[in-house]
Amino acid sequence: MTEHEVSRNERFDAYLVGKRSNRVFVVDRDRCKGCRICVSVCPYQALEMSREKTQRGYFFPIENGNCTACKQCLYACPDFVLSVHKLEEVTVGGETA
Amino acid sequence: MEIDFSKLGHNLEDKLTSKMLPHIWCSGCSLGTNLQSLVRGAVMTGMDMDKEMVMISGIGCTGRASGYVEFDGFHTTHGRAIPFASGVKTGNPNLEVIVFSGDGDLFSIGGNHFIHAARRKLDMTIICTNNSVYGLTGGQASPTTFEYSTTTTTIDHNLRPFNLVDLALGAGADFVARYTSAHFKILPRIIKQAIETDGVAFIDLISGCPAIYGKRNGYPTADYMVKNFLEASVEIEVKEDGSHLLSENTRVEFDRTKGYTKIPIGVFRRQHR
Amino acid sequence: MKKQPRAMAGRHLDSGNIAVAEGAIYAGLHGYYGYPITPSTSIMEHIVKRLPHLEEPGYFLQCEDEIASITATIGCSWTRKKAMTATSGPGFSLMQEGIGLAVMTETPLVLVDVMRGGPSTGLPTFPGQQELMQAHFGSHGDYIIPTFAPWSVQECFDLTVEAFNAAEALRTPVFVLSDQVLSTLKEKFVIPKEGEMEVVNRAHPGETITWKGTEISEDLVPGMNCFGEEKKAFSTGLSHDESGHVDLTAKTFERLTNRMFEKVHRYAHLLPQAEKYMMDDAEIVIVTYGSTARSAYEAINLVREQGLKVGMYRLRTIWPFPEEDLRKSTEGKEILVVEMARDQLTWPVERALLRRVHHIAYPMGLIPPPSVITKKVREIGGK
Ligand code: SF4
Ligand code: SF4
Ligand code: SF4
Repeated sequence: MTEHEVSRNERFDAYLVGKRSNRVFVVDRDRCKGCRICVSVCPYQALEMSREKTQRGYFFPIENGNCTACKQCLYACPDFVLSVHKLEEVTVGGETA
Repeated sequence: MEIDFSKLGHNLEDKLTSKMLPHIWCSGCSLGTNLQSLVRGAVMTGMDMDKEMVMISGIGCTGRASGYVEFDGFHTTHGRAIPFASGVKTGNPNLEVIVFSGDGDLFSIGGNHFIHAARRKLDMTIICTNNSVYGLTGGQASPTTFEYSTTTTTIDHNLRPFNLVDLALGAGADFVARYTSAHFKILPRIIKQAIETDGVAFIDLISGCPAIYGKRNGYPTADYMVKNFLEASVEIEVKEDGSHLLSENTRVEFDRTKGYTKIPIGVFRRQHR
Repeated sequence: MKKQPRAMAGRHLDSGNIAVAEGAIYAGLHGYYGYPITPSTSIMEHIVKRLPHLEEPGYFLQCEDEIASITATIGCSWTRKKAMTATSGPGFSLMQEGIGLAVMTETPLVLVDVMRGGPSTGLPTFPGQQELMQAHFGSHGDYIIPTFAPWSVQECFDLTVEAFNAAEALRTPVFVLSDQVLSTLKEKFVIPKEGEMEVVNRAHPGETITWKGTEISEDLVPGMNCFGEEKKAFSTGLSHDESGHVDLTAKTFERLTNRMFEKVHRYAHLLPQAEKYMMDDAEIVIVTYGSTARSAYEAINLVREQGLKVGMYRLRTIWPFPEEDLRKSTEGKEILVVEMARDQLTWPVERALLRRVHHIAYPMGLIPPPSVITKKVREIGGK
């Protein structure tokens, strides 16, 4: 992963974030219901809503490079969509969380 | 470095009953946020959610909450979460019981159980997700629906709502607090204090039902709702003469064109040890 | 206060309500939840003197109403403790909601209903047998709850112990239908020593238990995962799968409800069997239960002296109704149903026998005296 790189699979978007680029901001797209609460609570305007929809028909948040991994949005999200992990805990071969 | 996608589950994933998610609640409903705050509060206590805690809910949108988290739990009949909790607590006093239910469930059909629980002081935590409406059945008036707001059963005029903080103080609860679902920063700490209270701890957790109530009554979207909660909230100032506890000073105010206009928040009573 | 033993072994002279309370304690009662109502109240007044003072103390809670009593009973049972409540007519009506929840969540508990005359507040201090159908059909939805009916103070004790055993073995609520006469009637009864009577405890997940020497199938009665134990324990009044989680599909609902019926019917032969008195040569059989049977017993002895061949089929388990046994034991005989109700016991009897029967309906708050029964028997017998 390089700076502001994003990895995706059929369920997750994972963004490399934080001042030292050692955090991973995760969007579990399938659970998102597009309510925009995350966008409105983020103190750093780091989130925007997607243009395409999820399988269930909702727009979902996209990280724009400003995320500091402060976790406000994930506490606010009503659908357990968002999380922040330490990079070393979620890489292949890394330590397990 | 390559990301291992199998490790990307939610930070609280091991506390969630993953197979039941996504939950049934509408987009932007406060219930999910509240549930997360509850789990975070429970984790903060250091107790084992499965072996030491039981989460009991009644009927309604909120009722389904106990099925989504890895607490031992029970989804009772309408209004009966508190008596069920009383049975659990007396069956095994080592268990922490948490009642998590809505305003209709706890204060209409279950109102009698609440006042007796508060009087009896069996150790339990009662969290009311108070969204002022019967959401699951399509938006009828609840005991906390505001006076001039529109529901499917109060088109012209509604009667006076309960002030749940006033009710809980009067009935004798040992810990009484009010916050909104937008106070997710402080709520886990308040929930922890409630759980650790010996006796009946009550939290009036002002919540939004944007899909049904909000749409008709001044908070049409979830992001507006969250801002509205924060803007309308006023932390209580503790007065020596206790006047901050008077009913008129703890009352929630609401305007059907703008949403909430005043929400007195804070901890109104802490048990004296 | 001195610690009290569970089994007050020995001979006693006391009322049916006291015997019920002692039976429950003997069977391992931990939590009692109740609300005052005549004529069941003295059960709870006795429990409060005993339960908190046992070596392993139990818990008594006077609830705000009967709805709370039954719901708290269910809550207590989910901590793997034995729990009960007792009530009478109006309270039994209020409990119907909780009864449905106990059925749906397969919660072992015992509910003692001391019957008085109804409807409504009716006859609080006089007996009735008008809750027979309510015990079967009172709550909404299809279900079957094992229902026992004692006729003596001794049986008030015995059948309460049996009720707890059936509840634990089959993971079901169980009813004991007593009545106002038994509640106050004092007679001799014996409490056995601890260990003399079988006491059954519900299975853990993956464990098989035996009851009356019979192994209970785990497929029909899954071991119960209770609060505070290894895995997440969960249940709901909604249709649910084996883990207790909501599943509203027709397939799951059918599997759940079928199993709930099947488990009670499969083991019905282990429930208290009907007592047959002077049935061998009887030409007329009185079908009855509870304190009414005491009068029928007197009546039979009287008319036997006059040469009338009369016997009695006294039900001890009412639900599930022993249709086949009744049919076999009364073939070719005249049937007389006696009850303190207008028309309740006649329903399952006539359905079992596929014919109309003679009937003494006595719903006015009195046991039908033997003279009423002997008169009717003479009419039927043509003497
Ligand atoms: S708050 Fe959660 S559910 Fe709502 S849009 Fe953001 S990620 Fe999706
Ligand atoms: S973690 Fe903080 S900075 Fe990052 S998107 Fe969420 S709220 Fe914004
Ligand atoms: S109806 Fe209202 S309370 Fe119920 S899930 Fe939807 S938004 Fe939430």
